[in-house]
Amino acid sequence: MTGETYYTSATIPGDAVTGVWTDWTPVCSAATTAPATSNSGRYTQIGKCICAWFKINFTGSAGSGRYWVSVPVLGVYGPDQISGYGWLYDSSAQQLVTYDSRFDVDGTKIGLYRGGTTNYTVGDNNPWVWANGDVIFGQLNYEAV
Amino acid sequence: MPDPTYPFTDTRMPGNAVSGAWTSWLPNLTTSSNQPTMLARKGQYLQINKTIFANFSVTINAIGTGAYYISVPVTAAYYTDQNVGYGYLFDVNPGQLYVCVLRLDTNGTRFRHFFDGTGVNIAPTSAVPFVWSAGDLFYGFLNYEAA
Repeated sequence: MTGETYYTSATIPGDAVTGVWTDWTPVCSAATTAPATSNSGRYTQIGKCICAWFKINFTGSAGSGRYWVSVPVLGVYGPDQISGYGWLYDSSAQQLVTYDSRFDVDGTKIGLYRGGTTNYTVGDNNPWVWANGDVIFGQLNYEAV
Repeated sequence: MPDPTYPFTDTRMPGNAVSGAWTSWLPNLTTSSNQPTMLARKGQYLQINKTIFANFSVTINAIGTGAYYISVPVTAAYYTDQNVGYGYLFDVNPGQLYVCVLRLDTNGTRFRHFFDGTGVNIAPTSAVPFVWSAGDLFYGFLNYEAA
């Protein structure tokens, strides 16, 4: 057979095609003052498809204002584009709340939205006053720029 | 240029999943004791090297006792509190749906559904969030890193 290109795992175009996961450290910001957190995550890129998860561990102050979480690779931004989902956990009340996430400002960060209420944007006092031991866990699936 | 040899192997190309082909698998519902049985179960998954995409449904028959877990198609890399997907539980009678996230168990081979709630009422057992009966359902979509 001639005229065709055969790739090996080392030469296939773009590492991203491999679907191998790597560490990533997300940033949790807020409208006014960022909360005190310790963060971790993993992600992979398959062509323009990003798969990721992140964990935000609260270590102290809740900060002030609504929250955003950074993404590992710049996303294609569309107003209110759903980019993922996850859960919030209040360690003192042992309460779990699910949410979805959206690119609501640009392709660098996501906002967190919970259902069943008109007060739906997650922030320093929503759905509770965030404190040491609380967790935000998220998964992301979106298109990279 | 190397001589082509078919089929491609993982050393020549990173996974047959690059083709986008999905494979059938059978999710398995288990509990901590007195195992449940299933009326029906089905699933499909796609593996792109270390990345897994999958969907599934399980219809329960005998409800068993204790906490419900469902198997993954490929053993996952485990990280504390790791979420691996989303889905829902469905109580056929009266037709009530519970939106869930899916969290991996520590051994990387199974996960649990989690839903909005407090205390022990955030993950399904034979009596939570309703008393299960034959025909009730687990659904989900998975996306995670393989071990």
